[in-house]
Amino acid sequence: MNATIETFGLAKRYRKVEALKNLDMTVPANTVCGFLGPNGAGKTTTMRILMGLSRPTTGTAKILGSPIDSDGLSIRSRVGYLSQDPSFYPRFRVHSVLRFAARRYLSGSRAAIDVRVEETLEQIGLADRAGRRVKALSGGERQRLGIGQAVIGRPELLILDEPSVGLDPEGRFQVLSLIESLRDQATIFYSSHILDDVQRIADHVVILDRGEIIAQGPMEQFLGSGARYRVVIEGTGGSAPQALQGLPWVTGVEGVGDGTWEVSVSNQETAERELMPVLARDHGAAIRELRPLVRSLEDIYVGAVGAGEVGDDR
Amino acid sequence: MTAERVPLPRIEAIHPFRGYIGMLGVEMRVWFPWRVAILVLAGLGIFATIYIPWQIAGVNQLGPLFLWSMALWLVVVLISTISLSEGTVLGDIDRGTISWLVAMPIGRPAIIAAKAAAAAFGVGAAVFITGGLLYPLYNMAAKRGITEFTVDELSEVTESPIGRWGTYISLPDVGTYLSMLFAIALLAAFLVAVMILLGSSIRSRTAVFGLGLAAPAFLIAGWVAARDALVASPVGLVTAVAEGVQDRPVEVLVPATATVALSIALVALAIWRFGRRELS
Repeated sequence: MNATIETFGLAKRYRKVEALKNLDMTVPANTVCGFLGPNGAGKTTTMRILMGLSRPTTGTAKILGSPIDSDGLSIRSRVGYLSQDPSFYPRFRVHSVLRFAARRYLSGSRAAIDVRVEETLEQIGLADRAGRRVKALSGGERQRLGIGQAVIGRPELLILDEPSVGLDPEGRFQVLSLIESLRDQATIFYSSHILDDVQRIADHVVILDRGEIIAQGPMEQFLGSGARYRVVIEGTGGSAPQALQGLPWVTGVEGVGDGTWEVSVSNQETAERELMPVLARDHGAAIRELRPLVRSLEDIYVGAVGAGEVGDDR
Repeated sequence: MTAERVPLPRIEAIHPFRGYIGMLGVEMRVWFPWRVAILVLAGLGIFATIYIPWQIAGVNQLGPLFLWSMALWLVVVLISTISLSEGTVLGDIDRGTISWLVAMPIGRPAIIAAKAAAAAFGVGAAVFITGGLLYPLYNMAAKRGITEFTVDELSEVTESPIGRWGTYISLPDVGTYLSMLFAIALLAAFLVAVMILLGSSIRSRTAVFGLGLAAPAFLIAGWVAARDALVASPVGLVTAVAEGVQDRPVEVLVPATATVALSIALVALAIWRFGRRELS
């Protein structure tokens, strides 16, 4: 697996506060990686360290194979970044921001750069706002401009810190569509609080809590691991439920009353194939119902982090 | 996407001053035209200290006012420079634009060097524009004899940092006047370097402004206490201005060289400090 981002024991301490603790994270190449965690988990700190805005207390990281502590400028020429609260010179016009950014990444004639600016304006849906001053933009428009300046250099990696925060549903949809449209062009590493959005577009997930990674992996494996099934058996079910517990791919069997059982499995594929035959054929259980309990990213996130986590974002 | 893709190669050059020209363009737009205009207007306002009493109040003994105006102009240039350059680094940090800049492939040294160069050029331009506008006005005043007065009449103004004047005062010639302007511009550029270093090292804008104000105070104190020993320093430029206003030969080479070297050292220190700074 080619990694676009790798961190090795990354840690950050602000006086008495440990913002990051021994972070070992891998973001595979050519994925959309959702970076999740409650406020104050250390997501922004991680991204700022990766972008060279902050320095780790200990540990290091590699982006696109280059160490961040020695090749920062080289890395930044291949990475686009959107900060949590993108800010530009207020007197700049939209096209000036994009032209300025384009000239930092790309070489070419003024006309060629202007064509690239036009392309990007179309892409972010701000073509009709090109001549407007930054200070006159709405929050959503400024966010899209932030994404525009991040993508204009055709980066190999996009790091987006809460790209859809503060947007109305339409703005959020537009930003998500934009990210989806970019997935073939760059690895995208983005943080978000909106779990539905992450589940919709991410194919890799990293969950951070109190500065520590508590889960990371491909989305499919993420949702698949720990899959659960609801089984309703006529009568008590005899020995079938107990027999299930002996199977290597079953991680738990829990009775919830009235012949209803919830079966947790470690391998969803095997469970789909084996669960019904084991119950019916091997143990003669009369099955009234067998269906997967659909787990969402939110179930996993809440299970891992706990509900109601609040705090200051760092 | 509707427009056709254009093959634009990525810039491969990697050095600490990458992006300097682009940043210089941005910073020049910060100083020109408005900040420079403010500095020029502040300087021209000084002329009003002569013009208004002369034209409106009918005051004839304007010599002391003329000399005060020169001293006041120097002070106004220095204070305005401190005030306008106080947010040169911290303004971007407070606004959040610094994160945008640093996250792009722009070297941190390029950002500081461009800010210093644009600010120094801006205040320098303002000094020469103001000086150029004031010179004919002072000439006009001199022709009417208002700059001639006796030592007794000067007694009230000899505490001024401009210095000790002779029995009669005449306006400096063009060469001397330009040397004076050069000295004032360099003093302002030196203060820019001080402010850039403070802004790169300290988080509080109030503290930066307060410490910045101490710099001209030290200059004046150094000039009063040890001007002969501090020729090869910015204090020597204060001496040059004081000599120039008395139409005496102005020695700027040594103090100018020392001030430029010191300013470059301060900016280099600022680059080092900014390179290590955590950006929020």
